[in-house]
Amino acid sequence: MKKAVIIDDDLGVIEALQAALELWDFEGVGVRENKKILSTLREVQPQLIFLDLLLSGTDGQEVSRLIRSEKEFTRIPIILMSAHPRGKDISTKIDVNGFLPKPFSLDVLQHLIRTVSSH
Amino acid sequence: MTSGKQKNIEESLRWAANSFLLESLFEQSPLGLFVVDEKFRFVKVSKYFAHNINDQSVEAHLGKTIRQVVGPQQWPKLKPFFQRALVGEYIHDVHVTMNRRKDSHRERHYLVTLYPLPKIEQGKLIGGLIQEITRQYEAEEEVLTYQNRLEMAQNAGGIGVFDWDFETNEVWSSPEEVALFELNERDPSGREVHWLDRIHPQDKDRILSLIEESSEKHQNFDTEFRIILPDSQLRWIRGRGRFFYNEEGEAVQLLGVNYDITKRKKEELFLKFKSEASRLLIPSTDYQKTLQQMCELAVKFVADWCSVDILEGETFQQLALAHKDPEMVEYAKKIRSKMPATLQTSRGLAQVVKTQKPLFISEVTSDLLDQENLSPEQRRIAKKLKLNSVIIYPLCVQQKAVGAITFVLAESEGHYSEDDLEWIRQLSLRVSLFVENTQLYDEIRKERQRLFRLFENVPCVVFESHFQSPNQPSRITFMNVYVQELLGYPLETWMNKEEFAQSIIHPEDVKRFETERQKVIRERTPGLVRFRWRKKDGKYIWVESRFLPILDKHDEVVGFRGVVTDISERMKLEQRKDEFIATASHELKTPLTSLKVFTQVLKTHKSIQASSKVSQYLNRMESEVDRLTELVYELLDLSKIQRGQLALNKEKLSLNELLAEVIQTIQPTIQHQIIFKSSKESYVHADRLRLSQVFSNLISNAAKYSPDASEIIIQLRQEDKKVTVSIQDFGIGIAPEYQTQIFQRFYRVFDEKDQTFPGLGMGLFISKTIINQHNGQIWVKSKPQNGSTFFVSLPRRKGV
Repeated sequence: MKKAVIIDDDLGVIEALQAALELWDFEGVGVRENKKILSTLREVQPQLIFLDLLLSGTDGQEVSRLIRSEKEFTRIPIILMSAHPRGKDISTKIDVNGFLPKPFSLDVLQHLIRTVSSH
Repeated sequence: MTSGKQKNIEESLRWAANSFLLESLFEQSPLGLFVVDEKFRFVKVSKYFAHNINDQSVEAHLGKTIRQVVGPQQWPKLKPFFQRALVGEYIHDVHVTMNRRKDSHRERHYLVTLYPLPKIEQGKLIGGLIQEITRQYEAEEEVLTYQNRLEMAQNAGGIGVFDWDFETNEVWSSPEEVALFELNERDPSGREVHWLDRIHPQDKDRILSLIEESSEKHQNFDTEFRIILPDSQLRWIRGRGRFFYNEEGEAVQLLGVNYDITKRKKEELFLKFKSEASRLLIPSTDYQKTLQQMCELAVKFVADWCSVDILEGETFQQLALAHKDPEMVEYAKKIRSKMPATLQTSRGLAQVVKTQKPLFISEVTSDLLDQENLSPEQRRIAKKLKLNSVIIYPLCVQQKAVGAITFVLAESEGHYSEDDLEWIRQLSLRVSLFVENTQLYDEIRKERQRLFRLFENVPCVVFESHFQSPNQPSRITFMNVYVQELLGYPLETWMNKEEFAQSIIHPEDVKRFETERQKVIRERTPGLVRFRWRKKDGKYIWVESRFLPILDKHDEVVGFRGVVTDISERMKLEQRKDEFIATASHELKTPLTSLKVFTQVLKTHKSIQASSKVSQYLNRMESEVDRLTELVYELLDLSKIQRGQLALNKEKLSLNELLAEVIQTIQPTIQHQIIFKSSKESYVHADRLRLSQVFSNLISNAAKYSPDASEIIIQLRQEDKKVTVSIQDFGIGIAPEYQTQIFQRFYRVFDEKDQTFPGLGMGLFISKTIINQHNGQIWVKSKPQNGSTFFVSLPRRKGV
């Protein structure tokens, strides 16, 4: 089973994504606290990362920089998620592989996973 | 002519020639003087008589009969008087109406005096005096009573002549002289009175020294003085005299003439007074001062006392009081403060104000004082003030007596006459008008001040500006001082610098401001615009200006009048509200995200797909989540629009492509078939995302409001300068009255069964805003039950 780490401060979003990912044989592991991000990533060794742009307390941009700073995670696809209308613009400026506007439909999600995974 | 008669004439003429008096009168006086013989032939005429009365030269008269000169029609009117004079009768001031040769249609009035010449025993020469009184007659006719006319006539002719022999100290006085000075009345001691005795005490010394000085210097004299008659009436006299000397050079004889100039003098004084008073009596800020100056003028010319009292409640306020002697003024004021004049206590003033009729006391006699039942103190005061003759005239404002003006003759011992009432009436009219004008002026001034005070304390900028034409720079013509407090620039900067208000508008807001200004000029409707103004310290504040056009009489806009309010606090609040909305909508999107995902995941479950009902419900749930999402986006947009922060990322794009994308996205979500018709590729300069939003909104509306229709037609038409997209549905349509309202915020169309269609009605407002920001237009054509067609036109970008 493939693994994905979902970084979001909202449990509802984490659980919904977990349910959706199951459809395509992904096991989703949620992280809600910043300090646990790297340890979780090391533990899970995911094939895909979902990252919310505006985590409470920390900016998603910083988190992405933090992840990319670790050698072992430089190549893992990151999908940036946001409810921010200009979130897509931001996603093009930082080191992430795709953007998922909140709320989203499963079609879009599936298409996005395929795109970033094949990359 | 017999030699005897000739001799008589010669004798008479010699007398006449010798007589300085006659000669000078004939040459200089503005009187019609003449001498005729017993055949009524002119022997001598004065220049004035020849030229001004008969319009002929002196020479043309001499030797001719009166009949020849005045004509056969006029002569009969004069003949009886001359015949009477011929037999020795003295004809005094008879009124003769004649038609002059020149402009004979006009009736002319003359006073004629005829007398047998003195020192001619047989009386075969007649001296005459004729005065034209046409103008006076005509003028007086209208205003004066018969009584007044008679009086005037009596005064007009009387020239007194006297011959004073210094050696015998005898004075010969002509009948006119006697009448003029009332010399027939003896003084209390029974002594015959000399005309010198009648001279006013204040003038007597001057006249005596004038006579003395003139006789010493061998000069004639010509002067004016006042006399007081036994009934203490005052008259103005003009006196001229010539001295005759003996061989030693001593003056032995004084020949003189006196005539009454009272009327002229009074008129002169009054005219002087009236003209100077008129100059004074213009609305002024210090009206009490003006009235005081007027009273002082009166004292200079026509009265000993003059005062103006204005009624305030029940009490008369003495606003002005004048007398030559300041001590007397003080005394009178002291009395007034001790005994205030009220409607109850005052007699004269109260009576005048109550009746609105003047009070005229020609002579204040002790009998009168007795009648008035005065207290001993009041009598003492009356005596001290020497009140002699009084006129109190009401001052009326709008038919209501508001006070009175008082003229008193005291020390000068004269009396006012009925004639004086007339000029006082004229004057009091003027003073009334002045009081009224000043009161009005004062009221206006106070109103203005009140308004200005109000404006001063209004916490917004009130302004008025004017310009020559809308393209010319404008200038502030009024602004309240609050602007200094608000922005820090002195008021003068605003008033003096053209376009100053515009020059401190934030560069980003200039266009919006100018657009609104042009709209107001064009449409003459009230304007409303928000912009940032730079304060003196360089910081900007948000203000809101509401203004109206000022129209001139040709209906042209010549300026603006309005109010500018500081809305920085409001803007801060709105910003906080917008931030709240932004946060709230973000917060809302998070649960919506999971809700949507869960719903979709649920739908994939086989057990659920098995039940069509559950699937159907889940579909409904999902579309409700979508609707909720859409609403959240709209709310966010709305708050941005209100903040003016709906930023656009414009790029050149193909409208055909954009529409195809939108249709592709939306088609799977609706039942209708979208038919897209377009010809050429059309380009616009626009924000891709926002424009997609507009078309999505219009297409989903089309679907929403045509539930029973099967298609939606989208057409793209390219014109020279613009591209127009139409979205046509075949639904319920929109009634004409709602067709503009639907573009307003929170407006929704109801169908006939009053079933509410979904949506808060923000979509069209947002779409309109977006399109307007692209310099485009959005409108609708629709008929109820016949569907609607929405049009969007945008400026076209040429080329590929």
